[in-house]
Amino acid sequence: MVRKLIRAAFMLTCLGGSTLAVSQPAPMLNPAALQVDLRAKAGSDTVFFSAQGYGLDASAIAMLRAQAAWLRGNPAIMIRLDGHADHSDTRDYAFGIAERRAAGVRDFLITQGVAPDRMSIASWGKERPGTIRVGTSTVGVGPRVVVTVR
Amino acid sequence: MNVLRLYPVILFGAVAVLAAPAAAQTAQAPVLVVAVPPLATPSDVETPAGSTWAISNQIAELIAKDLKWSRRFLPVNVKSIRAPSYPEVTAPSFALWRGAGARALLSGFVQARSDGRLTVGCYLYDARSERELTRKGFLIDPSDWRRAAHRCADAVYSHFTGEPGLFQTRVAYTDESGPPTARIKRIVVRNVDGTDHKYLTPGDSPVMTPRWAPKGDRLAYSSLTAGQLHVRVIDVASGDNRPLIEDGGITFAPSFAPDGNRIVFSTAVAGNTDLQVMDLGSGAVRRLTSTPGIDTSASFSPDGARIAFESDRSGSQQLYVMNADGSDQRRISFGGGAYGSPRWSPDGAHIAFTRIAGPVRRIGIIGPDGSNERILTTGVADEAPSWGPGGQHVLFQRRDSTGKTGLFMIALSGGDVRGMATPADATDPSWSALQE
Repeated sequence: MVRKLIRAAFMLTCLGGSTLAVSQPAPMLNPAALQVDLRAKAGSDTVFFSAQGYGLDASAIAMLRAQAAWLRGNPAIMIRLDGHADHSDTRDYAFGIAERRAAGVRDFLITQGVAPDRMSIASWGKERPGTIRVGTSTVGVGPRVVVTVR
Repeated sequence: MNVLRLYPVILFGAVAVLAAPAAAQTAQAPVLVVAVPPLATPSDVETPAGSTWAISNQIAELIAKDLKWSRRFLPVNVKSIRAPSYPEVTAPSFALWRGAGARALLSGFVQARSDGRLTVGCYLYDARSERELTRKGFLIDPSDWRRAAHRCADAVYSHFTGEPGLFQTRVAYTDESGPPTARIKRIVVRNVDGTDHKYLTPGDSPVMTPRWAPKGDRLAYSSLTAGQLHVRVIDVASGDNRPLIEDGGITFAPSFAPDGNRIVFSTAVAGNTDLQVMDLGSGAVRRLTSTPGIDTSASFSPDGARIAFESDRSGSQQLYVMNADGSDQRRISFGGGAYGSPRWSPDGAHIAFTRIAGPVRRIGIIGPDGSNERILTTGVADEAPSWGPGGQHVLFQRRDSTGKTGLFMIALSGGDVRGMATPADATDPSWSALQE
């Protein structure tokens, strides 16, 4: 049911904002719902990097291709690329390398047909460590870029 | 004159260690033994801050605590020795203090005045030669007794070390609370002894790396307001708080020039982080570096002529020094591993840094020409060094094995690190110059 509603919302997005305002309640198009859809369709909203690394490996490229397909299918949606660093990076350097990772993702998404003016970049340094589930436990992950729907 | 008389004492004390830093790592640092008995009061008078007798005792205890904290002095236990009488303040029973092992004696008095204020006097003596070395007198409100104590301690510290005082300085840092994935971070300023603790930012957005302006009136820091990383400057007294630049770009890692009129900071654009400097008078911004890579953590030399910074242009984070106009950029770190967060010492002699070897981070110092590198700390997650006013103490953050992060101080003269108690987790310390 929810998924149907979300899908309907996307179709409306493609049709343009003016119709939406009258025919659909706003919450259906809220960024959180779109974020959920991106995760469901692309498999994830995040690409990971090695500590100190900023190059895109094969799994990152595969993930970004899937995310780019979703973005091409939702051309009205604006995104922010949130770059993150590892907790063991020094604080200032963490901001630099997090921005560098996000910029690398942006460059790749441009090659995949995502318009540059749809993407902004944020650097979170090591201020927001992420978590992933490994088996039954949750472990912290630092170096990553999250595609965040705005 | 008087100073010369005590000089041999000092040579056996802290200064000898400073001249031979290698020895300091193995030997316990010699210190100057000083007696700080309770101050005398001619008559015990009640004041809003307690009786003059109680204040006399509290001042002496605080002076002794300050001196001990600096790691350059060892106060003798005065509990078992009778407290000096009022006439003995200016005519001490030196044999008594020599007998306790003291090389120096600090005596003083607290006297109530008819206008409700207090006269506080302190006198520093060479216990061997029985000569007065220096004296200080203050007219204070009774509630300001701590300030008088810190100034007496500073007089002792400066007399023997030749450095600016330590005990009336302020510390800014980032207070951290909440879970790791949603930290609440606030800028705090406080006196170095922990008093006058104030939150400068409300905690609604992450804030990092506060840095004092040279006069201690402003702080520059980085803020992540609504996900937008940018440098802000806050006036400590008024709370007036504004962005350094309003262009929407990613800026961070600010640091004031010693003249207080320029701020050097990093700007990240398209995967490249460079250093820029802003003239606060004109608002003009000038780019200092353009090499591909991350150039950040800039820190001016005390004369303002040069800047230390870190860059990964060679493939890993390393330390560099350049002229303040961006010319003559030279790498100074070659010890293996990576180096970050350089801070130039106020005396110009050293650059403190974070040494990164795998997961281990430690604080070290190196000469501005890359000579005499030395690791000071033994933690596994030490970072963010900040110099004390005389260039002989380094304050830094340490994360312990339980994940708690706090502030610690180490003296170049050696000895163990000493914690600086904070009410919550604390990171990114910045130690101010002497505040008068």
